[in-house]
Amino acid sequence: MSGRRFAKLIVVFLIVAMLSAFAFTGCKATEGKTEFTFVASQYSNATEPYFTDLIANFEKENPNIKVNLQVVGWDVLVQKVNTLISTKQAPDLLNIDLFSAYVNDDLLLDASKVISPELKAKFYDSMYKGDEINGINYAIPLISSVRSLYYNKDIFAQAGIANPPKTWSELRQDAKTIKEKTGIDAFGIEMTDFEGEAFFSYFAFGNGGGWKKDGKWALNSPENIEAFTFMNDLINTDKVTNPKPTAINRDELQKVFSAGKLAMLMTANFFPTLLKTDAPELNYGIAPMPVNDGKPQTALFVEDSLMVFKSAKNPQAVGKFLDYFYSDKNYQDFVTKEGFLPVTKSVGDAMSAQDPMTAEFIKELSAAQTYPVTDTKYPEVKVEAIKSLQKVILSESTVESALNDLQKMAEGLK
Amino acid sequence: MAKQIDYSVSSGKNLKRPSSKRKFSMAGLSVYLWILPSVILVMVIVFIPILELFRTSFSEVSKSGIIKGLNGFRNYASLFEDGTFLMVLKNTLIWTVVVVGVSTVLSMGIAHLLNQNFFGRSTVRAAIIFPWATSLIITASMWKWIFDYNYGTLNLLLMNMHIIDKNYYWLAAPSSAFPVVMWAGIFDTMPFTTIVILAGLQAIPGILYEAANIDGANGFGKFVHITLPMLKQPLTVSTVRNIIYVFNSFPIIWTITRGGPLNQTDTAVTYLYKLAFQVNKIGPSAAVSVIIFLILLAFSILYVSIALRRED
Repeated sequence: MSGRRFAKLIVVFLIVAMLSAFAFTGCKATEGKTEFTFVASQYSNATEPYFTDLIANFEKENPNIKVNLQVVGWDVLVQKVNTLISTKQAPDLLNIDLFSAYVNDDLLLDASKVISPELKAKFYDSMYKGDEINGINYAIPLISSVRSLYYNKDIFAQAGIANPPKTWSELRQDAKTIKEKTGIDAFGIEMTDFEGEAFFSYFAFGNGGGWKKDGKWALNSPENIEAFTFMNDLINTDKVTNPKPTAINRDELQKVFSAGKLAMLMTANFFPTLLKTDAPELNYGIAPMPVNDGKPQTALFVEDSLMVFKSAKNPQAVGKFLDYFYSDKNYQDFVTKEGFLPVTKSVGDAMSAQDPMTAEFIKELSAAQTYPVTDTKYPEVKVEAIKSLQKVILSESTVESALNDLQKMAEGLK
Repeated sequence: MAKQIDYSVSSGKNLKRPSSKRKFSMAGLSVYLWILPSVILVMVIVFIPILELFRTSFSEVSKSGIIKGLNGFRNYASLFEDGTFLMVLKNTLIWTVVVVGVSTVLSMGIAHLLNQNFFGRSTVRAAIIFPWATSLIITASMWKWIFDYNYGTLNLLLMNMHIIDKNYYWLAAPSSAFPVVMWAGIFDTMPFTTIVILAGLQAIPGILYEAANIDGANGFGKFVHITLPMLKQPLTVSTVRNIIYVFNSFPIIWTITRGGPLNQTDTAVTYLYKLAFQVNKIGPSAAVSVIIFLILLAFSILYVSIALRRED
């Protein structure tokens, strides 16, 4: 190789090196605009087109603001956000369900100072308060969903039952009748890390128990012990549920219900949207969650939230965007497309007036409770709670000792 | 006898490169320049993450992923606070030994079959690659569906053949769920192993068997005294490589059981994923990664030393 060819080689190498260096820095052109990043979770295939349209219209009205949208699937969302945070690229605006860890690391702005007072006044009080940690709203509610009892009317008719159960004794009786007369599994239960916490809540809340009492973990309360004994009896004594609740997730159970092979299932209010395409012929009804005899009616609601990070350079622009997003027309469009329940009063009233089913769901919301999402220990307690109930269902432990161990574990968490 | 004949692939060690005796020159330097991009790439995407992993495993990491400072061996100690990690290590051992062992034995049989002369042999040989070429998630989902309680084809088959009288819940109890995931693992490990063994079989010269026939050896004798010794190299290489891949396999278990119920089908890899992304314990999760890394490093050294020995 001659010296000249070698020199050429060096030049080529340097060019390649410089090009790759540029690629690494990934420089962004700002053009003097105010920019912010919005990491949104993907609820359905409609999420990304909705936000792309919304942002295009918003940018048309506010030519000085540029929104960088990233829609991320739920299965990788936590991973993605944690990676962004640990590499100091936290998003400016984020939509997620659990955010107490970010509050603990002092990463979030007081959201009430980012949004306008008019927007703040729009939210349902219970929803807005649900995001409060130590009296401060580090997040604002985005959407909610409420869980109800879905029942197959044809199977009920076949078993000669007229109405869905309201109480646990009716539930138990109906389930036995259905199983005896039709042979079909009567009540769906899942206890896997997919959404076992929902079934924990249905039974605990339904008996006046729950995750916490007066701000402290109350996992082995007498109410909970009674509730899970009832659950275990349905599974292992009466054998009226799907046979192995530790081996099926909620989505799979929904398919079993859609196929007419399950009489009752507790699930979220977006289920009818799925049934419309999966099983348009299915003759089903929706009823409030059955509770133990003499206990007050309640339900489980789940809320996702929006939050603004302290690292955001342009919180005012984010606030402007939020005002735009929560304006009645845009927000109702979002909630309807995704099949969720609204968290603002005006849209709640409008949707209730249009659709009696939504009105029913919104009514159920008023007495509903949710997971202790504002506690940083909740993700770990949740995983252990599911394991405890798996032990009970697999007859590896009694209800009482499983819950006592769970309580001890939750209290011992740092 | 076998040792006297050198069938190994030409390793190039006899082809002395003329340049190796030359003195350092600009042209020689350019060789290093050419490999420099790969070296930089390897440094950036392999070594830096490994260093970062070790640092994380000795650090306290907040739940949102911020490193708060070093905390010595506390992450490692926390793994042993309950019996889960030990159980998971035991599962990993069973999983690796069974999947690698059974797939090697089965592959040996299949490779022998494929080494016979029969009509459509090349088609069958091509078909054996399919499970390997298919994405693991697709294969695993397929097995999950086959073993499904409500709709699974296996239950349907067994019912129609009157072997069972009601659907069996394959994936519910660990006693049947773990064998199911292991079978999926075996199914996916077999193609590669079969091909390696088949290549080994084809390298055995027929003359050896002819000589054995003259000496009056039976089929079993030929297998033990000719085939097995001649397959020693390909078998060792495929086994060590399989151990590394199977040990590290995530998609099969995650797709079929997600390690449940009660961590009883978790292996080290699914467990560390759960630690990191279900309960946000990044530190302990990094500690599990380091332990896996060290175990696999030992196997890799074994692999490389075997591979290099073959070249000598």
